[in-house]
Amino acid sequence: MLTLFHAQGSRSTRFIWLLEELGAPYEIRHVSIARRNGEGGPDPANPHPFKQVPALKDGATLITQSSAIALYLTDAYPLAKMGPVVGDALRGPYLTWLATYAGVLEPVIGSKFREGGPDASEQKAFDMLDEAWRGALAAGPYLLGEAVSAADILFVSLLQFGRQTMGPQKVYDEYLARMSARPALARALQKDAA
Amino acid sequence: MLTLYHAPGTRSGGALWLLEELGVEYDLQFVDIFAEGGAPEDYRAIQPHKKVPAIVHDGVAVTERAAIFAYLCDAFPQAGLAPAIGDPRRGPYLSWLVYNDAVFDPVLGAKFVGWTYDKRGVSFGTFDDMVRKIETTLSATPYLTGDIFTAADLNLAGGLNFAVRMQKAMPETPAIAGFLDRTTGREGFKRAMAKGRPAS
Repeated sequence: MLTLFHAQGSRSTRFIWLLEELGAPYEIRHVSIARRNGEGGPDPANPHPFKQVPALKDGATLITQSSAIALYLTDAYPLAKMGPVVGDALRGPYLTWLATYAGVLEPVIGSKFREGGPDASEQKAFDMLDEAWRGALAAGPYLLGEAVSAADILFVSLLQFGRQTMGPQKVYDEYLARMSARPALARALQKDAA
Repeated sequence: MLTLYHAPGTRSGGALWLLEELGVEYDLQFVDIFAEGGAPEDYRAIQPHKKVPAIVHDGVAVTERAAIFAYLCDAFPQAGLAPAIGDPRRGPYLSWLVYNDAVFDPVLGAKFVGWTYDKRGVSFGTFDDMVRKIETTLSATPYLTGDIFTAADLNLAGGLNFAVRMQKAMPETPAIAGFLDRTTGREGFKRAMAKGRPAS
């Protein structure tokens, strides 16, 4: 049995969405987290070593880090086709987008919210990410082409969180609209609040 | 056909080490990322940021270390460097692969340039939490996911060796020292070190 440790309106919401897409049996454990505005706090019920979300338990196994959880889940439920499997020609691009989310997008976006903003190399990394992302969507309509994947759920979550974080290009608006129309997201949002 | 794009003394050394551990045939291409203006412009088609490492396997480019490591270990499972899908160690293995890129590396980067930040405002948390997590894990088991060496150990060991032994930016506790000795003591590491510099 999968258990998702979740806090409303946080980085864990998109994993309710992914679990809904996968049709996987799961339960949600609502936990509190320390919020930017000072509300909430670490929850002893959360198995994450730093009391962050998401955290996923599969039986006794704990999985943390959003990209790792996404890959773990799409490999565990391959029939849902939310991520190319080992041997698929799109496996490499899929893993690249997942790791780019963790290793480039998150730290670079973090720098945008830091006092003083991004430095020159971070701004350059942001610009290149922006270009690569828009390029993929223009050819797409999804990051991997014609088929949606868990990488799209991670990337679109930035636009859902703050559309203005990226530029005004229509390709982002269309992507956000296309992803937001998915029935699994609607089901997930009904379960977001405790 | 498998090609690694590599620059000596950079993060691509880990991918080179991994290829040596996997024991597969590959072509090693040196990329001069330190040249004026960075790597040659045509390299951007493979790695949009003109950074290393990147691999191209049967015509498909894969970038970002966590992606390259997960990709290669699944593509060459006979080396036994990754728990297979369905193995209970698969989850922790993936968590550590991503942790290296998403937490360990940015936290160290922030420390090197002396940024101060509110940990609630970033995804990667604090330096002290990072040190504690690694120390706690390696005090309990010889490798990150238990008793067996995986590509997640290799990925972290490269950065940890740099941070602890070369930069002295992290404490070399007995648990961390033992881990570095076990990992960088491997023949694959030595072969990678020997191959990682262009013949002069």
